[in-house]
This record gives sequence, structure tokens and C-alpha cells, in this order.
Amino acid sequence: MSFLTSLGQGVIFLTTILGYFKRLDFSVNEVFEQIWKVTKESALMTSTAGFFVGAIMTIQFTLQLNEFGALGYLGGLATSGTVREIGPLLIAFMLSGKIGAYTSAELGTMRVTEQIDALKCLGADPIRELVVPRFLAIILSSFFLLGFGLVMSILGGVFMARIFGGISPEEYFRYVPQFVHLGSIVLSFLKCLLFAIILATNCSFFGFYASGGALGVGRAVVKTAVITMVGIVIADWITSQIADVILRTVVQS
Amino acid sequence: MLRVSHLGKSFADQTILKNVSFELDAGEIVFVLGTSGTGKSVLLKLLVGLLKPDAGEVYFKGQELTQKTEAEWNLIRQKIGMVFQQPALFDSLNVFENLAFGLRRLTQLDEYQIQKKVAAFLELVQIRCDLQSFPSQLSYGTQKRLSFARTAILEPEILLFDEPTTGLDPQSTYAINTLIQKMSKELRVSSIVVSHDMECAMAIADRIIFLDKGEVLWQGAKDQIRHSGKDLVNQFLMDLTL
Ligand SMILES: Nc1ncnc2c1ncn2[C@@H]1O[C@H](COP(=O)(O)OP(=O)(O)OP(=O)(O)O)[C@@H](O)[C@H]1O
Ligand SMILES: [Mg+2]
Repeated sequence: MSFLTSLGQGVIFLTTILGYFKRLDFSVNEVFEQIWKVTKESALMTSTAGFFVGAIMTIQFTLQLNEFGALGYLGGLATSGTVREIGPLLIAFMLSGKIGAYTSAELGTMRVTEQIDALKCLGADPIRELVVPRFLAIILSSFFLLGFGLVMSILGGVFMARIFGGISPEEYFRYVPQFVHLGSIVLSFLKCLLFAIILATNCSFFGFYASGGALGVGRAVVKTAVITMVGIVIADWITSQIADVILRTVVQS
Repeated sequence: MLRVSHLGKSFADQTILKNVSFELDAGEIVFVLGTSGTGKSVLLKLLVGLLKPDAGEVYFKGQELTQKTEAEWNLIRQKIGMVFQQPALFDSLNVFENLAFGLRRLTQLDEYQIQKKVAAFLELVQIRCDLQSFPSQLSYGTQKRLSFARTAILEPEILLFDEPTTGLDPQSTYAINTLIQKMSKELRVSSIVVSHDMECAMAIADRIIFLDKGEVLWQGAKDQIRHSGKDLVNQFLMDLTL
């Protein structure tokens, strides 16, 4: 029951936010300020994480492909796996830990210290001024950061292949076009967008409706982290399934 | 001025307030007393439209408030100001911007007039601090007084105070009580003060309302309180004589 209630409230909350977008009722300056804040704070972390995700994938594939004497396919396989699946997933996890926790703690603190009530009493609309700019900024910058992280993960892969498997970048990229189609890249960016929306909705919703003092803020942050990560994994599975079906029909026809 | 009639509020299956009725006249100071968790804060939030009641009406100068839209509330909230239980100053704004916040949004004053007004109200609450400092750099008592100033600066006709003196030293408590009294006598501002502090109530209230488990246990003029015949009221009075 309470899960369904929250889900219902979440949907109402999301429609409310979309209403502001439709009316273009928000401050563009505030959005840019938030985008800058989020991107600045998370760019280093995302690129580092992305780089090592690519590196890990390469190491794993090197070990296995080596046994079959098929190291030539390393670049293609590792890049495909990173771009289509592991990259978006892991980087989205990192961002939900960082941006998600920060935003829900920030909004939650404003809620439990009655700052959100005070805003209303002084003629401001808290959803318009606090939630909408953060929501939009999180989506845009997560999307951008995820894309950036993916590029870094490919670089990490190339770098590791060179060090670990002695494979030159030309060799590494030789079979990439066979494994990574335009479709995979589009899919990957669609996933990034979807994950970013899940992240932005959860952290603003749980933060904005936090209640019960400092403890309540803690609960809001935990809920944000857990539900965002579970949501991302489920969304990942659904998009992969759908993409699979689409890809197969395309191949058949 | 303000008439509250049979107000009721529940959260999920928990009834917080039921059948609360009282009136508030111009310039009057009414204290709302009661134990923790009886719904005193909820009552004030119902009166400024931060929460919606499930039952009853609120009349402000003859207008019914409970069915107002958010846009209509913005106008009413200039007339009915609320000072929250916590200082609720905006963390990301400095002292000056906190005080100017309502003026910028709800009035047509220009920058010069805003500056003059902020200075006047800082004087009123007797605070001399750097206007550029941020709330986190100030003491709790200073924050509480600034919060008072931020609401009073809009010169509302009714002020709602949620425990204005809880957690303050005797000197600040005295200063705040004096301020509430001054606003009522000089500016004819009506006040509803939620408090645990019987001593403050006896000092400045005109009338007292006792809430218990969400219902009005007793209400009447201050000098009648010794004849209430209610145990809880007598307990509060006992604290006073100790
Ligand atoms: N938004 C809300 N959602 C659900 N329950 C709430 C909400 N606000 C308050 N309550 C509940 O209503 C009850 C009364 O709360 P309220 O804050 O009005 O008490 P209070 O009389 O002000 O107490 P205190 O003196 O401690 O401030 C509490 O049990 C609280 O848990
Ligand atoms: Mg309270």
C-alpha cells in the first residue's frame, strides 16, 4: 500500500514538474547555475570511474580471449560491452551516489528546517525555484557526464590493452565497427537519458517530501540511493530487452 | 479579524486536530498552549495554507480561506505572516537577502526603500551583525530574531508565532515578548503565539487557548485561567508557581 502510495505521489510530482516545463515557467539562469555546479563537482569522478570501467572490461576480455587465441576481437568486444551495458550502468550508479545523495540531502534539509514552508510564506513557489532547476540540471548534466564517461571508458580500454595485452590502438579498434553499430550507440545514449530521469525524479521527490528532522533527511538519502539504483537496473533490463527485440526484427527483415 | 470554526485535520488514519474553534480580534494576543505533539504547529500551518484542513472553515475579515488557490494564498500571506518554530532562514542567502526576500517578491519597493526597511527592522529586533554574513555563522538566538524580522518586515495584520522563545536565553525571551506586545499595542497587529511557556503567556497574552490531544480543552481570558477546573491547565499553572 505505502509503496503504491509513494509511486502515485511520485507520478503526480513528475507531472507537476513537467507542467512547469510545458509553460516554460522556470529561470533559465538558475538552470545553468545548477548545471555548472553539478558538472563541475562530478566531472573528475565520472571520468576517473569511466576510465577504469573500460580498463576492467579490457582486462577481463584479454584473459578470456587469450585462451582462444582471439585477442584480435578484444577491442570490439570490450568496447561493445562497455558502451552498451556496463558503462552507462556503472556511471549512473556513481552519479546517483554523488548527485542524488547531495540533492536529496539538500532539499530534505530545507524541508525539515521549514525553509520550504518559509519560501511559500514569502511569496516564492518552492517547486519552481528549487525543484525544477535542479531536476532539469541533473538530467542534462548526467546525460552529458554519462556520455563523457563512456568516451573515457573507451580510452581506458585502449590504454589497458596497450599496457596489458600489448595491443596497438589500430588493432584494438579494427573490429569495433563489427560489434558497435550506430544502433548500440543510440541505445546507449537512450539508456543514459532514462537513467538520468530516474535519478533526477527520485532525488528531488524524496528530498522535497522528507519529514522527521535530521533522521528524516537520512532516510530520504538512503531511499534515493536504493530506489534509484534498483530503478536503474530494472530500466536497464527493460531497455535491453526491447532493444533486443527491435534489433532482431530489423535483422530478420 | 480571524475566526476559526470547527477545524479538523488528520494525516492518514491519525487524527491530529478536531473541532477547533476560536476567534482573534484586532490587536489581540492569543496564546495556544499544550503538550508536545498535540498539533499546535499543524494548527498554525492550517491558518497560512501550508496544510489543508479536512473539516471546518477559517474566516479572515469575512473571507473564507480554506478553499483558496495557491495564487490567492500569496496575497493572503502578506496579511497573515508566520514565524516558524525553527529559524528557517535560507542557508544560501546572506542576512540582508533573507530579510529582503519577501519584500522583493511581494512588494513594489525599490532597492533604496528595501535597504531602509531592512535596517529599520534589524534595529527593531536589536541585531547588529554583518549584513553579508550567512545564517550558519550566527547564533541560534540571533537567527530566531532575524526570522522574526523577516516575517514582520512585510507588516502583516496577523502574526503567527510557533514557539518564538523556546530555546532562548531569558534576555532574548524578554526581548521577543516585548516585541510581540509592541507590535500589538502600536501597530494593532494580532498575534497567535504557540508556546509551552506559561510564564510568557501570563506576561503578555490577552487570551489563552489550551489544546489537548487535538481538541480545545479550555479557552478564556488570562485572568480566568485559575478557575478553569482542568487538571492539565492546573499542571501548567503549577510550573509557574514553582
Ligand atoms: N506533514 C505531516 N505528516 C504527517 N504527520 C504530521 C505532519 N505534520 C505533523 N504531523 C504529526 O502531527 C502531530 C502534531 O504535530 P505538531 O508538530 O503540530 O505538534 P506540536 O503540538 O507543534 O508539538 P511540539 O510542541 O513538539 O512542536 C505529530 O504527531 C506529528 O507527527
Ligand atoms: Mg510544534
